[in-house]
Amino acid sequence: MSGSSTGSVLLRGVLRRCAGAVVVLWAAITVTFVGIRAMPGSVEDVVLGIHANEPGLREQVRASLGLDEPVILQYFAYLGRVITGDFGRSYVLRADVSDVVFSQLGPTLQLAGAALLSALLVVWIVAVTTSGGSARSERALSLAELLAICLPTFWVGSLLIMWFSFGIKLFPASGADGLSALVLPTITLLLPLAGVLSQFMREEIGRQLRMPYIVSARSRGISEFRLRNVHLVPHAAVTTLTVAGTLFGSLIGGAVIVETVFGRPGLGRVALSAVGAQDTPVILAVVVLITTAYVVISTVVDLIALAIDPRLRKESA
Amino acid sequence: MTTRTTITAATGAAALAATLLLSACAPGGSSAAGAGDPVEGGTLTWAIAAEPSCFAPAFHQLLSDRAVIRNYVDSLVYQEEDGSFTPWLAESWEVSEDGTEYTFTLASDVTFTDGAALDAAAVKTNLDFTRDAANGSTYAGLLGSVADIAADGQVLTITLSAPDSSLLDSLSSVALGIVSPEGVALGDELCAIDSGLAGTGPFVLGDYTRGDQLALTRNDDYTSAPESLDHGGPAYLESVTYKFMPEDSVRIGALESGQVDAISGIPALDVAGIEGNAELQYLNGPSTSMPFGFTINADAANAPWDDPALRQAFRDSFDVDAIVESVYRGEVARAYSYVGSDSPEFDESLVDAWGNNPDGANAQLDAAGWDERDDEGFRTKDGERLTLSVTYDSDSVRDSRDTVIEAVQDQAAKNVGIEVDFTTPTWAEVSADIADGTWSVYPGSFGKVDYANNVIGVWGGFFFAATDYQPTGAIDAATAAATALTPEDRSAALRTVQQELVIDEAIFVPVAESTFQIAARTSVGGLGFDYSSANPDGNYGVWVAASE
Repeated sequence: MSGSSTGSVLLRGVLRRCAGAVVVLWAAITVTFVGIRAMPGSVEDVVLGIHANEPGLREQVRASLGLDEPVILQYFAYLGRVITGDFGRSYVLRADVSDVVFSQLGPTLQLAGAALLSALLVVWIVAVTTSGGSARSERALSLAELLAICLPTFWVGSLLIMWFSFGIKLFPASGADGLSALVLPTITLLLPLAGVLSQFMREEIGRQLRMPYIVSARSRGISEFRLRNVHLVPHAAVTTLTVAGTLFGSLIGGAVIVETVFGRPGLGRVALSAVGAQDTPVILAVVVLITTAYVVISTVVDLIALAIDPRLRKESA
Repeated sequence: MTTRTTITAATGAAALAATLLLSACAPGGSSAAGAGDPVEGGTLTWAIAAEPSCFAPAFHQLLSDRAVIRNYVDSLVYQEEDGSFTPWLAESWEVSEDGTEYTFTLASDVTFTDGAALDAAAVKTNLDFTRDAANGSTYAGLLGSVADIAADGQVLTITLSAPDSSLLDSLSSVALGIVSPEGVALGDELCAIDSGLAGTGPFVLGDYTRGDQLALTRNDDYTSAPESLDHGGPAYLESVTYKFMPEDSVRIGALESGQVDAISGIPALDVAGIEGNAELQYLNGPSTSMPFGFTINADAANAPWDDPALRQAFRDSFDVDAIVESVYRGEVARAYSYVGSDSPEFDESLVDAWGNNPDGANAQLDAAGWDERDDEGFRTKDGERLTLSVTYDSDSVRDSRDTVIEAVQDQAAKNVGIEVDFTTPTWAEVSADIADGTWSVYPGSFGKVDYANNVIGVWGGFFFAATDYQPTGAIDAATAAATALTPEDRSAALRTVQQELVIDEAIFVPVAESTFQIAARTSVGGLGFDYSSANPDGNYGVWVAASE
């Protein structure tokens, strides 16, 4: 396999991924557009508030929001604006939506990114050190994973605040000021993700441990540390990374709760209040941004998988 | 630019609805502690539940936003605890005999923090902007009676189309606070903190992180404190930070663990814990806000509840005292009227005039023909169950109000066989039903309101705008109150309003008094309430003792 053919395979992979990403984005925008219109209540009622029944005002509002146009035209107008990065103006915040969401994107990505990376690190350590253990320890770990997945994020967050912020006063309870403010929200968010990933990774490593190449590697006298980290982890990493990529969306969902509990700035809080007030421009912008982030992450994950596992390169060539 | 104007106009309306419906909280006892004599310098951190969506007086949304805005915005007149008015930016004023002309003389040598001078023209620019409906201020209605505003040097003359007994009340509020005229021209762009928003207040806007916190720094040149305060010149504190913490338990824990110095919005059930903590003080605001209660649609669209006898039967079917006592354990007072019991306008005759009368309610329901019962014990007529739908938008449900509603639900079923169907949809859903007149019961509180104009705007203009039913008795009396020339006439008219809403028409069933609360470290002194809004005051008179 020459370098140039690897390159063209990678290029083709990237192009295919990008085309797929555009389709996913378009689908997300379309589904959200339809979904918001299917929600009970109407945007103009929210905008009109107590003036809902003043003569003539409703028509004016509908016209100014473009709601008097046929839905299909509204849809294409919206698509056109999104492509040029214009998300319009928030009815509730009275501010440019792009300004609002981009200012909130950073803290959310920081939180989700920290949770994702630390989840991978935790899972790596746990899987490498515990795989192939006794049946009893396997059961204990499975239970721990199940708990991590099932415990309600809201409850875990409150408990962590109670212990580590109000109790031993190690971390601040709220805000986004510096690294220490990131610790508790990250732990809260990473737990369910780590639970799922750990299940996948430990199972994969356990499977590999029974493979003949491991037996032959052991017979060469390789150290257990090297065996696990160099031979086993790359195998398990592909599955784990792919799962992690697909779970990134749920991380953003979890961020909504975590941001509320910890009083952290971020897209989640903005989205939550926008849905309550049917602030359509904000909802649509958040969906577009989160979808974009999701698509970018899963593309990167796929590319990393290509880099880790030569078989994927062959298969796609 | 018709498009932009209309959007902002309409948003204002939405904001008002949000203000009215999302504001206020609840409690009962009050305690205050001192921190010795005022101390110069230092910094104070507040944790508040809601982040203002707009920082400009003309466009702020929630009543609780006023506590923040008060720090950098002064008003023309100052509202005292007893509801009277004393000089602030206006040194003095005169009212013509027919009540239609107000002449204010403004303090001289006051400057906005952007350097502009405070004169009558600047005030006129503010008020003219807000009252022009095209600009979409949420608070245009506060100046609805104004026909003309004239400015001459430091003399401002407001001419009214009819007497307005609420004018000084309106002018004392943050909503009509005065900002630098340069900013006014920006319209709702002024909502953003970096837009050039500047008042004459004791603090200046500083760093702001959306979703996190706002910092304010002292205005060292401040000279325009309300005349009646015993403190003049700049504020004591050098800086103030507001942190936005939506979770009640986190806010309280942050106070207890010393991460913040003061918090507002305390659930009634947490009060005992705060009062029992020697390091903390608790202050309960005045009951001058409109209480929490049920507004019932009396239109045929909500049949059979268009029959006043049925609404009265529901009103009397449960024991308000017992419910409020059991849910709030004495921290919240039961309400009797749509007027808060600490307000001068409160009609004492409503005390014990209604409620907890299942026998009377049962007789009324029998007489109205709802005398059959179904398998589950609910009353029926012609095979139809007697059901009342209570919809409370989920964002507004707080401070155990859902528990209160469930208790009402339980008693109404047990005592008289009325089924209360309680749901919590989104505000968009609720507002759509109200807009087309098909709503049934809305539970809520409206904050500290101008009781005369509130009836006209909220019952007349909002709840019953789309219905054939009109609360004409209440609206006529409210109009009389709004245009009354003497406080006595105003009070008499407002008593009629309360009788109409609560007793005769039973379209408002009061449940619990609504107040705002503050809890703080005992090292904090000078905390109190802004009587124009019943909200926590700004930090002009606040100080922090050197060390705890």
